Amino acid sequence: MAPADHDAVVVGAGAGGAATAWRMTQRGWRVLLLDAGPAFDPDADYGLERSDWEKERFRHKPGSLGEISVAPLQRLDPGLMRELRSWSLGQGPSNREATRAVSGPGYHHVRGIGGSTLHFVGEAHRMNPASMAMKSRFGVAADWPVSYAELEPYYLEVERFLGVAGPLEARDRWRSAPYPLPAHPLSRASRKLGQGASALGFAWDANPRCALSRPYDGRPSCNYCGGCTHGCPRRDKGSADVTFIAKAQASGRCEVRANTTLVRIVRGTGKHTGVIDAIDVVDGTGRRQRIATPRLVLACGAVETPRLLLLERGLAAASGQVGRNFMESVAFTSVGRVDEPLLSFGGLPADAITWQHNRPDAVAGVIGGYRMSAAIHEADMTGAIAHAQRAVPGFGREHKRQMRRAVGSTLAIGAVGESLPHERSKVDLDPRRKDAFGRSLARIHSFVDAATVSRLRAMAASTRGLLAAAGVQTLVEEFGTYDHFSSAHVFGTCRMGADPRTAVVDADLAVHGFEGFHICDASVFPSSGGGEAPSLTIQALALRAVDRMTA
Amino acid sequence: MATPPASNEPEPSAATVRGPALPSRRRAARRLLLAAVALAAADLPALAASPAVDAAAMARTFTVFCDTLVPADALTPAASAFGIADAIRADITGDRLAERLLAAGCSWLDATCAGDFSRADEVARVAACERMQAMPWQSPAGRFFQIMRNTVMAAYYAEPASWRGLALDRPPQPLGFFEAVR
Repeated sequence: MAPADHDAVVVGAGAGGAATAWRMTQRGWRVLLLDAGPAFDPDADYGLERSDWEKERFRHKPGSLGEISVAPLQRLDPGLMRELRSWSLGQGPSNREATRAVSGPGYHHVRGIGGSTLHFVGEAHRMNPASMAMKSRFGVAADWPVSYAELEPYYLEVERFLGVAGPLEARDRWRSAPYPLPAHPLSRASRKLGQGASALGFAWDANPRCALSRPYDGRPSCNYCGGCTHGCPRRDKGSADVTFIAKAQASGRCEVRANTTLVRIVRGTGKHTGVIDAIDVVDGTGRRQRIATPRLVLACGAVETPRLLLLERGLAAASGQVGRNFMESVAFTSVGRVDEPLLSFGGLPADAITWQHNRPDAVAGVIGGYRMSAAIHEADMTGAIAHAQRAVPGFGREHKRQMRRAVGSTLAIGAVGESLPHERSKVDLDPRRKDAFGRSLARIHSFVDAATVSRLRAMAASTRGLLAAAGVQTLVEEFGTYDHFSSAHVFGTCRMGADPRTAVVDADLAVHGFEGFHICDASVFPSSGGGEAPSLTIQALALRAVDRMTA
Repeated sequence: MATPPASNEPEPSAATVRGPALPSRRRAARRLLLAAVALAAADLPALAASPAVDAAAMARTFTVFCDTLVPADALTPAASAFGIADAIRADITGDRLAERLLAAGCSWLDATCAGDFSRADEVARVAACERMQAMPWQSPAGRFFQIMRNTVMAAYYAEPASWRGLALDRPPQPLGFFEAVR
């Protein structure tokens, strides 16, 4: 085997892979960062300046959505549909079948340079320390082998690197220093929602966000267009491409290759089966290449990373845990209307949050918490098309009149909750569907159990209650994950833990039984948290993992 | 991202008629429309048989249907001002299932209005559309109404000239919405 041209190869250029590559360049290592998807150009690709900006939420490019398979989903309980169904005034029920439906691609992600940070809102959440010991406290999921105290300096470093704007109040998440930037001003709509939260006795905080409230590190501040999920053309949102990857490339030690697909992981032989010798990749022109590497990091997310391991027979399979413990978005959003001009299409998405129910024991009789935040942008209820199709029923001149009252006057609360492992929720290989290289697709098995239903019921009651307290008299739409598989956050399929019999990676994200082989994405999460967005934790874990790699 | 997208129906595209749409984007929009129509119509056995249609008459009916969904008022024009009906028909040309859904819907409208929806007065047309709107999803007419309502609304409100009177009257960038946080 020819000597390696790089000190490490990182596969997957999303939140985890980007942070990993950057940290490696800080250590002076030469890094090759690969992604199967394309690169995006913030100046040209997002379309927020176009008159038809609303027609597509995130303008995918060829190859930027990975192929996945979803196994048949469970039957719905008609007795729960009144409480948990998804519907809108304009379109009626959004699932007319007797079983759960896959919403859009089901697994909402971006494959490419920057990964799903390109379309994420950019919430920069730390885990609630109380949610990191679910096994020992409640007998569910697994405990984190890394403590909040060990992660705290890394959280702070990532926040300072990205320019996170956050509130003064730390609440359950103690901090060794304030956020680097002041919190964003709350929008009119979020101030209205805050009145409801206050009436219910809930603290209504500025949400920590990696969008700039002041110019920072050569990037401008946010202009409150509300379009984070479309991709940020200004570069004030701290997506991985304009932060970690840009800095890694500026070091001169990081080579980035888009449209490059990993098709084989080559293990050592004889006494060296515990190392990875090389990987085989195919580039966008179809050229296959073997790349030798002393270190390999997989950072492809909790669907693709276990697939890559399962495709290599026996690789990291000792625990039998690869692909198991799949955790997903558990969410419920309510959208309503007030007769008040709030310009709710503008402002920073998810600018305000309540952690009132976030602790895992916050709701009596329910294990696992949730958070609620302003959600009109994530509900995609901002522009005229969304209102015309979904929020305003009917047609004709009256429809036009109602449109003029509705646009800018809709409010939404989204609840995102803990997802707990279940034996029926997992990722495996689809025996029938293959990719362009003849390799099985990842197949997602998603299951909503009774405990999740209990949590969803509490969440739905809370979103409706908060809207009502804020003065909303008419609900126009609700969307939840009881009757849909719809997941932006996925976790757990390469669980982190000290015991190689029950975990795939150790606390330093090293794959058990291997040297120089790491996983740096949310597949390592032992538990999901009570609705926290995962990217900040992924990046903090990645920096820590690189620091603990041997030179 | 905290919550999943709320657009859970197959996204009805907007058959773009004017504006900046590039050919590739237009093709993508057409694929979305056809996919939505095909998915929505696939379980309708009634569409297996194609009704005999007079193409010119159907075009007139569909244009007037679109203008009944989105008529002109004091501030903004009707759907026909943007050529929306013609563009939708052009986009579904060649897709048999979509063509049959269109034919079934227009036939229903004509039958409900004494044989020619396009010549009926506004009161009769609105009444026909209200009946159609109330039809079950499992009926061709009900399916046609839901799909075409979505498609027409998407095409209409992608036109800046339709935004007059709305609080949102420009794209999000480059100006942003500082006024929303004041």
